[in-house]
Formats: sequence, C-alpha cells, structure tokens
Amino acid sequence: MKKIKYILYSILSVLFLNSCNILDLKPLDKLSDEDVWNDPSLMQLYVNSCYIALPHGFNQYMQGSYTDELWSRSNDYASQELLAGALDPDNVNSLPTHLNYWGTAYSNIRKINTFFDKSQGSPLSEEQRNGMLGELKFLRAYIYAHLLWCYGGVPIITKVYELNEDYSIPRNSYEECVNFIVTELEEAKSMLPDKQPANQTGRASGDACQALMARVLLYWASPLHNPDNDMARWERAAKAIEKLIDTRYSLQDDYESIFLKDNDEIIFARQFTQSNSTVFSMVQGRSGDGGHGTMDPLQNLVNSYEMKATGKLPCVEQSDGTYRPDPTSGYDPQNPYEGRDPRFYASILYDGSVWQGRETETFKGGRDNKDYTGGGSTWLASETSYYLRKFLDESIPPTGSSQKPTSPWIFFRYAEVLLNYAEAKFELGDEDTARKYLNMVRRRSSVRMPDVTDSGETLRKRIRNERRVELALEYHRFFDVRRWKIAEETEKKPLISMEIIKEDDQTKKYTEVIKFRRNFYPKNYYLPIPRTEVEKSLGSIEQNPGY
Amino acid sequence: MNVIQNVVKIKCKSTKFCGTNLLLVLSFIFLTTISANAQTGIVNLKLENVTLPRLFQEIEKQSTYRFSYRDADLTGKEPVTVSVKEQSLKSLLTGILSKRNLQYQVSGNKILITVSSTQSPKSTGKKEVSGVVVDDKGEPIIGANIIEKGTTNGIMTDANGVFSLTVTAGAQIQVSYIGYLSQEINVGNKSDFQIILKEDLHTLEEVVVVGYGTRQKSTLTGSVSSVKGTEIMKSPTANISSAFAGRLPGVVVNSRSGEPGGDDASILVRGRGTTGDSSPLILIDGVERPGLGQLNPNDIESVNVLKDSEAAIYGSRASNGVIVVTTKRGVKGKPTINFSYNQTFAQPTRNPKMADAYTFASVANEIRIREHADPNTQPVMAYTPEEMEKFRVGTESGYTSTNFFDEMIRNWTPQHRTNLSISGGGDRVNYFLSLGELKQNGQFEGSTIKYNQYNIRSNIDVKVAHGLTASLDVAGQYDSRHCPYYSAYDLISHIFLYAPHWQLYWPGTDYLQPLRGDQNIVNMINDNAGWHEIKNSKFEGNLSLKWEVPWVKGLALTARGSYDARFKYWKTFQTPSYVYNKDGATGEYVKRLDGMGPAKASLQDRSDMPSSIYLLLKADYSHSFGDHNLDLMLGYEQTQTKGYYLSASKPEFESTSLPILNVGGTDKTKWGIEGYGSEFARQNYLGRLNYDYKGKYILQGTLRVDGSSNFPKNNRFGYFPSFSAAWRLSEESFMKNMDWLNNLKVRASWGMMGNDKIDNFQYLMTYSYGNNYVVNNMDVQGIYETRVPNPNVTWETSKTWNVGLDANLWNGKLGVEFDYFRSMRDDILGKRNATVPGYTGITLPDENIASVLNRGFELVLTHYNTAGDFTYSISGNLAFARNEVKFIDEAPAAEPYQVKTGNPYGSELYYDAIGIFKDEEHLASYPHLSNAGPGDLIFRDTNGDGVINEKDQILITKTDIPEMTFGLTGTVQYKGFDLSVLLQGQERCNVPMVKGKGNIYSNFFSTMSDTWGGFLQWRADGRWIPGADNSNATMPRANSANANVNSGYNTHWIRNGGFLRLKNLEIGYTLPKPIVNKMGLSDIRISASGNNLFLIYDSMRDLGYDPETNDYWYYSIQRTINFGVNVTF
Repeated sequence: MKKIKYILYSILSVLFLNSCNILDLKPLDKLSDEDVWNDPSLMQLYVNSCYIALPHGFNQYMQGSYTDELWSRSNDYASQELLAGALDPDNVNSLPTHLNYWGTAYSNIRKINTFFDKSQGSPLSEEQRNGMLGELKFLRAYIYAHLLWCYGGVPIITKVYELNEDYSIPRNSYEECVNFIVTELEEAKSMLPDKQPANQTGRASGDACQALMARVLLYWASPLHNPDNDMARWERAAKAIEKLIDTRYSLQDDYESIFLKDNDEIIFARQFTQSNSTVFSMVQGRSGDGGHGTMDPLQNLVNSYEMKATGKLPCVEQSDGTYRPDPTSGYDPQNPYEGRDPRFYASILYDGSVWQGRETETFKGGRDNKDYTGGGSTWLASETSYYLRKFLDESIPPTGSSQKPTSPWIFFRYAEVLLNYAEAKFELGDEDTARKYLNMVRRRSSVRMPDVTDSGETLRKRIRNERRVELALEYHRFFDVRRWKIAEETEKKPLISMEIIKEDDQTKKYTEVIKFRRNFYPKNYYLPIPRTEVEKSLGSIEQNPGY
Repeated sequence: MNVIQNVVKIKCKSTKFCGTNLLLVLSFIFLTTISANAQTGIVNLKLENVTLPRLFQEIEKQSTYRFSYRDADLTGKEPVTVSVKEQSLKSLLTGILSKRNLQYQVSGNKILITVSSTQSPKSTGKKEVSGVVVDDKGEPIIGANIIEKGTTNGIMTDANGVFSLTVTAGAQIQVSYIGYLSQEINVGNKSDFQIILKEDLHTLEEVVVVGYGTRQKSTLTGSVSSVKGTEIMKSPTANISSAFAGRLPGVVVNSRSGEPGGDDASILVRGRGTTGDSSPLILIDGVERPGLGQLNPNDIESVNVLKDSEAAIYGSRASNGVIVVTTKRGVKGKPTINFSYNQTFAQPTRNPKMADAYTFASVANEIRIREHADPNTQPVMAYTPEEMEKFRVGTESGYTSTNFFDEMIRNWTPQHRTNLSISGGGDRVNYFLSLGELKQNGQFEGSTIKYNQYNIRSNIDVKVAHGLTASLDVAGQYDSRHCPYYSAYDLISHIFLYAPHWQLYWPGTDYLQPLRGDQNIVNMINDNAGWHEIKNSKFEGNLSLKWEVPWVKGLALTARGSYDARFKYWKTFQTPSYVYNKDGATGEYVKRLDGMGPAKASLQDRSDMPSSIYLLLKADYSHSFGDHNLDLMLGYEQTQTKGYYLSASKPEFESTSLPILNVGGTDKTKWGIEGYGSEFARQNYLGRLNYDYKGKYILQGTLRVDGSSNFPKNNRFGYFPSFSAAWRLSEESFMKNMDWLNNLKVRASWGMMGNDKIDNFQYLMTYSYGNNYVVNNMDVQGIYETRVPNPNVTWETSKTWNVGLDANLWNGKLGVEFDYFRSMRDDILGKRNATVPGYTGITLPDENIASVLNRGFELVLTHYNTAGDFTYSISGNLAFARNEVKFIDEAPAAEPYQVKTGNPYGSELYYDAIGIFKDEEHLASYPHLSNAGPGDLIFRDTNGDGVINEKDQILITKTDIPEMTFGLTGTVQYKGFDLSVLLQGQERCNVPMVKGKGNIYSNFFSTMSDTWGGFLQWRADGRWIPGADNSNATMPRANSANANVNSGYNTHWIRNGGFLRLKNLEIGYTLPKPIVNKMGLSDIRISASGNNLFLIYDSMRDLGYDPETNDYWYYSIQRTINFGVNVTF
C-alpha cells in the first residue's frame, strides 16, 4: 500500500508542477514590440514589408480595362460600371486595389507612421536611419500621390491612430497634398543615394524620389488641376523633370525587352522572383494555350499605333467614336496589321502574330477564338481578337510550367521622363524642345518612327498619342485622360472590338464592331470616396462633388 | 466534514488563488486513505429508530447492493436501532430481519426481502399460477411485483425471477418492476407464464449526464436534451453529427456536405445567439475534444445537450450550449460480445437539374442579339439556324445533351461499418472494449475518393479497494482519406459549368477532350491530376481515480487526468495530366498537357501535431438530514494545449513514381518550407450546490471561476454564477391522489456564461513574418504589425433565463416538456469595422462591443403506450429561437429600413426584385440602375426617390440558420419487430444562392451565359428573350458578363430553406430467443433503414438542390439505404 501511495503522489506532483503560471504564455511564432524596435535587422525587415503598398500592375484586372486600352471579359471588378459612368460610392469598393486604393493606402500609411514613431530611440547607425527613413518617406509619398490622383485632395495623416480616439479629420486640398509630397520627397532624396548600388536595386533611390516628384508636379500643372493654366506650375514641373535628364538613365534599344528584365531605362521598378511572383502569364495568356485572356486589348488602342512609313494614324476617328480608314496613311483595312509602329508588334498579340512558336488565331473558329472546335477553354477566348504581349515572358507558357514570371513592374522609366519633359516644354511654349524630346523617344533603335514636325494643337495631340502608345498599358492612360481634362470627350467613345472571318479562300474579312457604349460625367474625373468612409468620418470627410 | 470545510476555506481565501494549494490538499487526503482496508459487504452503521427502508438506503450508500421489497411486507415492522462497525452485511441482515419475520436472498448485487413464511391461503374458486419474469435480454428479474388486480394479494419474484401465486379464477395479474413497463395479464386457463418486461425508457428515474456528474431527471432544474446511443445508431450515417437532426429539441443541425471524411454537420444550440463564434462546446467523456462526427456510434451511451444555465458550470465556454457525449462502460455480468455489420448504399439526395443543349444554344444566340451594341452591323450569332435545329433534334454528335451530374455521379455508392464490442464485469473489474471500422467511397464515377476509419476504445473500471475505483479509458482512431488533387468543390463546380453539348471524349476515341480550364473532369475525378492522402491518428486517454472517503460519509474525491494527442499527415502530389487537341487541318489528335496542372509533378507534405493535457480534481459530497438532501461539488480544472505544424514542398519531379520529398526539383528557390507553433492554457475553479426537500423543492447554485491565456493578466479570470430551482408539484400531498398525474414539475433558472473563442494574444502587440519584397532579384523578408492590440479584451458574457415545465400524465400516455428561454449576450467580440474609418489605417482587433438577445422555446410532446404485444411511442418536438442584435458596430444606415440593429444577426441587404423589365417602354416607366435594360430585374424603388441605388436595398432578416426546427419520432414494437420513423424539418430560413459580397464566384448561379458555362433549367425557364413576347417573363435575360445587374445581391435568388423530410426509417427484427439460443447465441437483430429518404415539402425541388445546403456548389448530402445485422454472443 505504501508503494502505491508513493507512486501516486509522485505522479500527481509531476502533473501539478508549475501549474500556477500556466496562463502566462507568449505567441510561439510572432515577434514582440521589444524584439522589433531594438534590432536594426528586424527594423529593416519592417521597412521591406512596406513596399507591398505600391500598387504594381501584374493583376488579373489591369487599370487599362478602365480606359480605352483593354476589355475585361468578366466584369468581376466593376469595369463596366466605371466605363458606363455608373460608378458610385457603393460599387467603388468592387474596383481592384489600384483603383480602390483608399483602405490599402491608409493601412500602409499607418504602418509607415508607426515606424517613424517607434524607431525613435532605436539603436540605429546614421546610415541605417537615413536609409530606412528615406525609403519609407518615398513610399509614403508615393501612396499619397496615388491617392491624390484617384480622389483629389485626401487627409494627410502623419500620426498613429490608436483605438478609441477622435478620428474626425478633414480632407487636405490638392495643393496641400502636392506640397506635402514634394517636401517629403526632397527630404527622402537627401537621405538616399541617387541610384541604389546594384545589390540594392528595387529599393527606393533619390532618383525615384525625383521621378515621383516630377510626375506629381506635372499632374499639378495639368488642365484638370490648373484651370488658370498657371505657367509657374509647368515651370516647376519642367525643372523637376530636368534633373533626371542625361544623368544615369538611357533608352533601351529593344522596346519589348524593357519590360522583361532590369535595365538602364528603369528608374524605379518592383522586381519579382520565383517565390515572389504572380500568375500574370496564366491570366493574360492566349486561350488556345490554356491562358485566361482576361485583359483583351481593344481596337481603340490598336488604332492609336501609327503607320511606320508615314507616321500617320491609320484611321480617322468619327464623331460617333467609330473609325474610318485614312488612305493617306498607307493603312490597308484588308491587311490591318501591316506596316505599323514596331511598338504595336511588341505590345499586342493579333491574328497572325507568332508567339511561343505558334501563330495567333483569333479569326472565328481559330484556335484562340471562342468558336474553336478543337477543344480547350474557348470561353476564355479574347472578345476583341487581341491578346496582351507587353510584359509577358515568351519563355513561360500560360500553364504547365513551374517557372513563374519575373518581369519587373516599372513605376518610372526614362522614356516617361522624356515625354513628361516634352509635354511640359510644349505647354510652356517651347515647341522645339518639345519636339526634340518627343522624337528622342520615337528614334529608339527598335522603333524608329518618323520625326514629328507638327506644331500647335496638332503637336499637343501627337505628344499625347505618343504617350498613349509608348506608355500603353503602364497605368498612365487612366490618369492622363483625366488630368488633360479630355475624358468627357475620349471616355464617352464606344469601345471597339475586331471580328475576323476567314473565308473559304483563306482570305480574311475584318470588321470593327462596337463592343460597349461608354459614358463619362464631370464627376467621374475623380473616383468617389467609399460611402462607408464618409459615414465613418462622421461628416469630416467630404464626398467628391457629384456623387 | 472537516475536509470539506478546509477545501471551502481555501477556495474562498482569495479570488486570485493558485491551484496548487488546493491540489495538494486534495491529493493528500486522497493518498492517506488508500490504506483503509475495506471490502464489499462490510458496513459501518449507527442508526436510531429508523424504518427498514431507511436502513436499506443507508446500506445501499455504503455498498453496491440494492434492495428489492414490497412496501406492504415492511409496513408495521418494528423500527431498527443499530450501531455496528465493520460488520458483515450478512450477519447484520440475518439478525434484524429474522426478528421481524422477514428473510432475504442475495443474487448478484440484488438483495430480495420477502416474508419468511409464505403461506398462501387455499380456498375454493382459487387457482395457482406460476411463472418466470425476465427482461428483454432474458435475464430474470428479481423482486418484480405480482399482484392480483384489485386486491392486495401479491408476491415478488425470487432470485431466479420465479413466482407462484394463488388467485381467484379469471383474475388479472399485474406485473411491475421499477424501471420497467407494467403488464396486465389475464390468467384464463393458463397457469404457467413467461413474462417479459420491457424497460421503460420514459421512466422518471432516467439519469441525465450534466456537467461534472449525473443527475436524476426528476430532480433536474435545468434544460437538458438527451439522445441515447441506440437512437443515433438508427441513422446509418458515416458521420454521426448529422444523426442528431430532429432528435435533440433546440439543437439546430444542418448537413452542408456529404463528402466522405468532410461531412461534419453544422451544429448550433438554440440557434445563433452571438455575432461571434456560435459553435457549442463539445465534451467527450468530460474533455473538450474535436471529432464528434467521427465517433463510433456503437461506443456512445448518450448525448446530452445542456442548453440553459445547466451549462454555466462550464463558465467561459458555455454560452453557446454544451454537448456532453458519454461513452459506454461495462456493467457487472458475464461478457457480452456484440458484433454488428452494416452495409450501406449512398446516393445524392438530389442533383442539380441542368439546362439541355438546345436551351444552352438558344441562350447563346439571345446574348449575341441582346448585347449587340453596334447598330451598323448585324450580330454574329453563336449558332446558325441549321445548328439550332440540330440542337433541337439532339441526336447528331456535338449537338446532343449530356447531364454531367448524371454522367459523373454514381447512382449508388457502397459503404459499410463493422463493429465488435465486448463488455461485462466482475467483482472488481468492469470493462467495455470496442473496435469499429468504417469504409466509404466517393460518389463520383471512377472516383478514387476513399475514406477508412478505425476506432478502438477500452473503458475499464477497477475497484482497487473499498470505495476506491480507478478507471482507464483509452480511445484511438486512425483514419485515412484519399481524394483526387481537386477538391469536391472544384469537381462539382466543373460539372455544373460543363456545357450540355460538350463531350468528354473525342467522338469514336478514348482521347479526352480539353474542356473547362483545358482540363477534363475525368482527369480531375481520378488520380490523373494528382491526389491527397490525409492520415489522422488520434490517441485519447483518461485516467481517473474516485475515492469514496470512508470516514466522511457521502464524500467522494475524484482525480482525473487526460492526455490527447493527434497527428495529421497530409501528402499532396500534383501530377501532370493530359488531354488531346484535334488538329483542325489534319484531324489528328495531339496529346497535350492539361491547362490547370504543372508539366512536372510537385509534392507537398504537411504535418499537424496538436496535443492537450487536461486535469480535474473534484470533491463531491452528499448528505441527507431528515428530508433534506444536500449535494456539494467543488473542483479544479486545467487544460494546456500545444500545436505544431510543419509543411514542406518541392516542384519539378522528374517522375511520378516516388512521391517523396528527397526526390524532386533541385532549384531551391522553388522549395517551400513552413512551420508554426501555438500554445494555449486554461485554469478553472468550479463549485455546485444542490439542495432538495423531499425531492419536492429543488435548488441548485453553481459558480465557476475561469482563467484563460487568451486574455491579459489583469483581465484573466471571470466569474460565472448560476441559480436554478424546481418544484415538483406532483409530490405535494394535495396532488398525490390525482392518479393520472405521474409527474409535474416547474423549473426556473438563471445563469451567467461566457464565450472565449477568439484569436490568441489579441492583447499583445505582435509582429508576423511576411509581406516579403525583392531586392536585387532576391527575396528579402518582411515583418508587419499583426494588428492593433486590445489590452482590454475579454470574453463575451451571456445572462440566460429559462423557465420550464415537465409533466407526465396517465403513465406516459402524455409527456410534456416545455422550455422558454431568454439569453442576453453582451461584450460580444467584434471588430469596429463600421465606425473606425479606414483612413486611421488600424487593423482592428476584436473588441467587446456587441450585444445580442436570443429568445425562444422548445416543446416536446410524447405519447407512449402498450397494448398487448404492441408498444408504441410518438414524440414530437418543436423549437424556435430568434435572435435580435441589440448593439453592433453599425454605421448610421442610409435608410431606416436598413438598420441591422434590432434584427437577427446575419441579416443582409438585398435589392428587392419585383419583376422583369419587359421592354424599353417598361424600362422608361420605372426607376432603374443606369446600366439596366429590357430583360433585367426591376428593383423596387423602396424609398421612392426615383433613383435606384443602394439605399433601396431592403434588409432580409431570414438567414441560412433556421429559426424553427422540428422533429417527429414514432416507434412501434410488436413481438420481435420494431419500426422507427423520424420526420425532421425546419422553417424560417433562407438559402441565398449568391455568395458573400466581393466573392468573385458569387454570380455563377445567377448568370446565364454560354461563355461562363452550364446553368440550371430553372434559371432558363420563363426567361426574358429578345424579340419574343415577354409579358409573362419571370426570369431575367441571359448576360455575357459574370457580374451584371441581375446577378448580385437581390431577392430574386433567395430561396426558402424550409422543409420537412423523412429523415430516417428503420425496420428491425429480433429473432425469437429459442431459435437464437439453439444457435448458441443470445441475440440476433437484423435491420433495414434509410436516411434522408425523401422530402415531403421544400422549395428546391425544381432546382434539384437539397434544401439543407447553403451553397450552390456542394457535395450533395447523401440518401442512404442500410442493411444491418447485430449479433450478441
């Protein structure tokens, strides 16, 4: 009996040992405040994570599908609502992050503000501190700039809100936001190297700050925000742009490869790796290869590529938004893809273009057409007869490969700087300089389009079309037509698709067909602020007019 | 008594006390007394002037013996005064009884008291009858009363169940025994009787399992629903959770899926009372454990659901109700070996009724016409008139209609369950041992889905010494599940979206066509595209010691520890699979990779290793003084759980022959390795006091103090009291002479409970790894703030009132149980999404902000009767529960009718669809969305402002959780036959056929488009057609875009989820004893049963959906037909 007693007693004692503190537990896979803010390497990790705030474009639903560049087949993200001018404070939440940016933006702003608060007193060297603060100031400025372009003036928040505070805060004006961004960027620039060393590419640099500042100032000078056409703003923009010209960047010879790997034209880009990548190749691939063809380039975009020989647009736009071929341009409607701007071939897959060892077939019944009968996901076929080529890596098939795309998403590149400069100089009345920089872009060795010699309003149109073509699908068009204040004209035009019938004699018949009728109201120059945000602010946030 | 006081003192000393003191005291008492030498049959008594029944009671308390006697034999006997120590029962009884002209017989643990000299007066007109009384297992019943009806003439059966009585010729004899149904028998000419008494399942003395103990149903003060294991076994479902439906009043059970190994039903007690986690606490043999659905139904003794403050003894986890599952234990007797085998055939209750090819093609052309935007050109039609004609005829290859649900889903899928159990017991050891096996296959044609489950259990009780019992319960489970790489949801969605004119193979070949996703469902259903192998092992062990302290009468101490460990191993191998393209020019078939898988196989291995240690120390004390009965329970409990997770993956396997991680691609940048860990602990103190006076006035009070590592130090302990009372009116003397009233009890209770199910460590500032970035073409790690901490986070609390009434009239001919409850839930954890603006950037933690009031009732009516060989029962139950959000974080609503506060939780805003715009004229006549056109739904301009926008949405207050549930059970027994029927249903609920807002798959049900894939015939019938007469159109037009005016949140896509179904039907036959005995067996029962047999009414018939689903792509719940045989040796 005694034995049993001892055995039981010892079992019980072991069981109850330390039972007093069993509730004092810590997370096993998370870090604490103390861990993070006393360790410079963890703080650097914190900075790294803030880069996800930048809205890169390798999405299934690209910004081009909210303009006359791309057609979104499924309308999953309210593109048709926006295109019909039916966007409102409720359905604005259905837009993809790059256009429904409010929430993402501010949660990242808080993240960055938290760093500014908590890193005070952290054991950082001067170099470390400058590097981290510089990067974060650039990122925060970028977030504010993107907010500004979407919504107009937004509340500038630099403090860290906690629970149970008074959250009412008014919107700052567009000008206040511009000034805040520029000041911040000047400061960030002073903390960062002009160009990051090779082993740090991908991080914000002084030049990235300058490029952002230049774009913010160019937008600020543009008609939508500068109704009185204050020349000082154009001047200021031009000055900011100038600082990047003839410095560390140059135009790449091959247009198509700019978008596939790191190169000297890139001022700032987001890079990708095998483990940090997207499904872009699959969602944008041709349906005949198992791709989803989610974003279909529109005829409207195709028609904006000039004829290589004449430098003229192939078609004349008519008042109802449809196109009439311009015979003087050299355009042959029966061979619509011949003799075009080389950038067309580098950006768009059309019927007959060879890609991944196979001709694209978008004619009715062709392999990449929805009436194909040879099997496959024909319901994913393009509805415009075009597929995307720009950004896509030809060596990666849409499906079956474990290789993932690592093309960089470019936020700023040298060609934009040149076009920005051409635009600013034109608006300042310096047409020679404007033409010079415009033609610089056109003279890229793989492009070599005829020089522009126009002037006046025609030159303005040429500059704008050059921007449309050179920067096609790079998330510029949506903001450009707005800041130029031409959206009430351009964004009311119908979206056009191509229908190709292959006759029995193997000849093809091309018909342009209206795909979608758009609408645009003056209120649409800015996106509505989500209704819930206005309501939650208890009246301190004012809705954009018209919504 | 001293000991108890000590314990109480310690418990009261401080509120923030530490468990160890109490533990040590308890364990000390425990250990010092093991040496007490006692053996059964030895008693200590000190009684003065007590009646014989009282004496027997006292002896029963000290031993396992139970007395049987006739009241009449004991009345008028001289009172007993006795003072003995360590005396043998035998000598004690002989002495006391012989003086009073009584004698006793011992059989097993039964002691039968009879009058010493049974001299029956013999006179004319009398006859002697004799016989034997046995139970339905054939065991003799000792001490059964045999009375000549209308007289006091009677006798009791002896140790062999035998009786002999002289009665008047032509008399009736009544045979009765406690716990069994009485029988009346006409003597007639017969003089030798074999009487089988059936157990009375409706007896008041039914024992109900409550928190940390059991209680007689008659003295229960709370609301508890019970179902016996034998009832659960009637529903031959592989997953037992769905067998609760309709059997437990107040418990809402919905089967959402019938997938083998993934078919746990959703279970809610009294509906949903919170905006937070509303799942009930599930205890298996006293320990919170997952895997209720995977229990072996043969192991279950009972399932009890504590619905009101009866659950309060579980404190911070009790708010959503507590389900207490008790497994079987051995009882003293010879070993009983039971073997059962059930062969089951399963099929979907319903398959979606898809549109045929002609409808599909018509819709394709209608879209081309309706959406053609260019007035200058003609629409290019999808199909020419010639092709349309071919579709209409439907015989030519490529134009035929296939219903892929019929094609891909088997009509009957076999499954079976085998069980073997051995139970019994002797003087010292009782045992229950069982082994169960279950095998299920998937419903798909050519499917590789397989589910195997093995359960073992060994529940052993050992009487170590007098008053000391040790129990060791060990349960093990191993299950393995094999399924194709693509989930059942993927498969169903593909089948749903396959166009009806598609063909799986190129005509005349066995080459698979590339279909949706350039893949083919045939590859997805079998292992061609890869597979998952999921293996679960589970060990659950309980060791408990119970010691009835010899020198403190009525005191029992229990120590109990359990260790549960689970191991889940999950291997996923995705392999390339192939389809064929047909070359348009040459007509050749070209083999190609499918469009969804990789070119080379990839492997992922995952393992998950949660474990928990549970400890309970408990003291029970019961004492009676005069007519006052007192029970006190005090306890300490702690739980520690830990979890580890590990995952590794590699792509680019050159061959698919070795799915093991050391093979595979060598590019390390493509490898994936992950690991996580977690810890959690609880510490609880509990106490309960029960008091009753003569079993008439019953009071109960409980208090629980709960501590949880989920909450910050200063907020870690919560206090949960409860009070309840019952009054048994039927025990009052003024009601005693109402013969028809067997029981009448009113009950009332109030209790405070909690709900602590939230994410861990919300009170701490934490940072997680993630949001990596790329620098110089290489990954750099990131960390980010997980959320803003809430230092005040604590549990939800509920205050629950319950009043109830139990009545039993005319000996079970009418039983009534009624409960009304009102539960106010405060401090519900929720995020202040609606009032904290997004521009603060705060990632919100849970805060204790919301309040919900839940009210309802449960009514159970039973009728129970025996007529000759017929025994039958009918039991109907009806439960209603409706919650009302008293406070949630809600932004000011745009319109008063959109306010969610004050309505049931889960209410959603929908446009109110009131018709179809017939044409342009009609469109112009009523406000509409700017992108609406003819053929689109008309949304009601609710606020009448002439504009349709979100302000016109109305609040739909019915959710997918039914407010009303009901069940009706009927049983009939006739000789060897038994029949049971269960009807089950629900009302006041909706099935929204659109998914959550923002879900990109939300629209596949409502969109009707050839480009998006197949759709229901129901969707196409009555649709708006361009150019046709649409005056009677009831369905909106077809749309090419997935998200369109018609497809979003509107009332057109809400279906009523109410139904009534024949849930279960079972017919059994027990072979006659003589035959069975000749075979050397003791019992054979064969049975046939069906589950989910058919729906009596519902609103999903036209769609081909089971009304229990809440999704339009789901693995249908199954109708099963089962044949079983049960043999007892």
